[in-house]
Amino acid sequence: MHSVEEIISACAKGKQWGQKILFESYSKKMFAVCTYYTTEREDAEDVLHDGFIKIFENIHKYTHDGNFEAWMRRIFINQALMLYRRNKRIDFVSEIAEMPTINHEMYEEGSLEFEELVLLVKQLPPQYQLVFNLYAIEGFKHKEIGEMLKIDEGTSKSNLARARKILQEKLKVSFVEYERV
Amino acid sequence: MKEFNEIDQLFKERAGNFEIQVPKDAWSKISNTMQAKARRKRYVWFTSSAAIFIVGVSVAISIFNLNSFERKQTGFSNINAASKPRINPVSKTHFEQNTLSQIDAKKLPSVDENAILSIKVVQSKKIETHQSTLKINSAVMPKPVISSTITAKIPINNSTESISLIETSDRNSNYQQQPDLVLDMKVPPIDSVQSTIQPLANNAIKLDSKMDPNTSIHKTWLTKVLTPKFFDVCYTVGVSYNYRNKIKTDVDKKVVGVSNNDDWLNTWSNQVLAQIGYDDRFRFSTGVKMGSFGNMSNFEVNDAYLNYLKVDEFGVSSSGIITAHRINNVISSSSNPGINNLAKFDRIKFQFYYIDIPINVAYSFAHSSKLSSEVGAGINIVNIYKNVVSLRKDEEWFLLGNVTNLRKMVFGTNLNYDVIYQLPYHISAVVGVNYQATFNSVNLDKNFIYRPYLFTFKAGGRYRF
Repeated sequence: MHSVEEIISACAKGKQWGQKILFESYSKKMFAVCTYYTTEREDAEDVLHDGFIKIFENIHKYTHDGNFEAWMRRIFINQALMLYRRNKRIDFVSEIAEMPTINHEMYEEGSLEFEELVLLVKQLPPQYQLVFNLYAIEGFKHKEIGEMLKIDEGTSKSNLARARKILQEKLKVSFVEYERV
Repeated sequence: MKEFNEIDQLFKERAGNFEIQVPKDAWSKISNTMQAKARRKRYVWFTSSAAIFIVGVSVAISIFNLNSFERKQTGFSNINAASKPRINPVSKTHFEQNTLSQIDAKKLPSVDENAILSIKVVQSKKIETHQSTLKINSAVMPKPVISSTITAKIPINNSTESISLIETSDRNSNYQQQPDLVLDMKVPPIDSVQSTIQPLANNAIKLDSKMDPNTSIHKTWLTKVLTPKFFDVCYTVGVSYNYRNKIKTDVDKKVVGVSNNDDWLNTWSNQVLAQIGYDDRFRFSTGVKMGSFGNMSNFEVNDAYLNYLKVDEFGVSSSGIITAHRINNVISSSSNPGINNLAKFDRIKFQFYYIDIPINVAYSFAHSSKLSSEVGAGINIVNIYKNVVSLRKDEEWFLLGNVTNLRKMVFGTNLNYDVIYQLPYHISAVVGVNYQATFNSVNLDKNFIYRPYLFTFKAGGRYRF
């Protein structure tokens, strides 16, 4: 059994066994992160692939100062944001766009309760999803979100407010059942 | 009703430990990519190391040659009997009687008595004529010398013979340390040289005790390094084979196209190089190379593929001007209905035109009477000034336009091997191969990597001024 430090050290030296252990240890969690920030399963798989490549190439830069999982998570988020920017899918409009189709195949396994919540978020327009995820799940501030998405701080706030409002409406029924459980 | 912060909290708590099963082949894809990157890294290291090694060896050998004032030399295979030097044996007694007794060795603090015999002999080949040059630099040449005879003993056919070189220059008025004597003539292999000085005017001989053989050598080396020996202009034209790039792998990964029939375009190139030689063997060259490279394949011409290419401008097809528009990645044209449906196109071709500035060093070796070889290496600064994308439908090509997400400048490295045949009038015929690899992708999108690897056969001529 290897410690995280040993695995990181092995990856930094380019050892394939270390990379494989790292992948097996974190891939499921990171794939979940990828799905938060993508709309299609293929995109999530691409982000997972590119994110791990980036991690293996840059793991020697990890300074052991902070949480390693948080460091990895940040890389996957950045990778997903890059994919969005490249595909020009981010359009921070004031009006709500048409709801995207939910891809139920994305969630074959995992927590059913949270799956429902994720599916609710997935019904938000992509730009609202991004802001909501970055704020609510990752805990970034609006200023940081603005820098990451290259939008105004005010736009981030308004997108979050609209996202919450939509979720609030959608959770009316869901939360009653949730509290009952 | 939950408050906003409670909704946020709910997501935060659950999201942290949420897991989704990854695709079964996820690890194998990542592993393959990492191995491919490692291979590429090794390849770049190998190419760079080879280039640096060749440059280093060239420079080292050149410096060694410039410093080579030793007398022990080999390599003269062709002796022209007609130019056989005049034999004039000199005995030690003769030497002592006529030379040593008249030279005051004590006035040479840095040189012992034997050093008087250490007349510096340098021989080298001239590439063009293959005529050997026997250079004799005397560090202890008497000053002033009106006229003297320098005799060198040279083994020929297992017997020691001597040649006498008579210097007749008048050094009274303008005496310089270098050169003492340079004689162009064909000489046999020299294993060792003993020489002496026979002054003709005994009373005129005086020694310059300040003359240091080592100082003399260094000045010679610096002079040669800082002074180019020759200047060439070389023009070659060639055909390049773009034998490898990475477009296919990445295209497959991103599913922007499926290719099973890549056809790398045989492309042309021509180059003009100015070459400066610092030595008979070592030369530096730079110039301009122009050419093109590209490929043609049966990628499915779909929206995603064009999205990666970012073709925003449209041009003229073989059937006229295309006034096309691109809306939601679908091309439409009112003037040319043939371009309306991407699915109809079966082939795509893109070609890049470049101006390359190679900066190379080369080392010449393996000379015979007329032939010589040359290896070279260096870096390339490549400017892509034009690119063209064309689509084919029913054997007709439509010029789609220019790709806009390209680098204007890419960098590469090259290895060369040339064979040179000496012709009259300072002209040489050159035939060679060139291998060129680029370090960075031509395409700006990192997921659509296009790195050409060109293998060029070239032929041309060289003129030496």
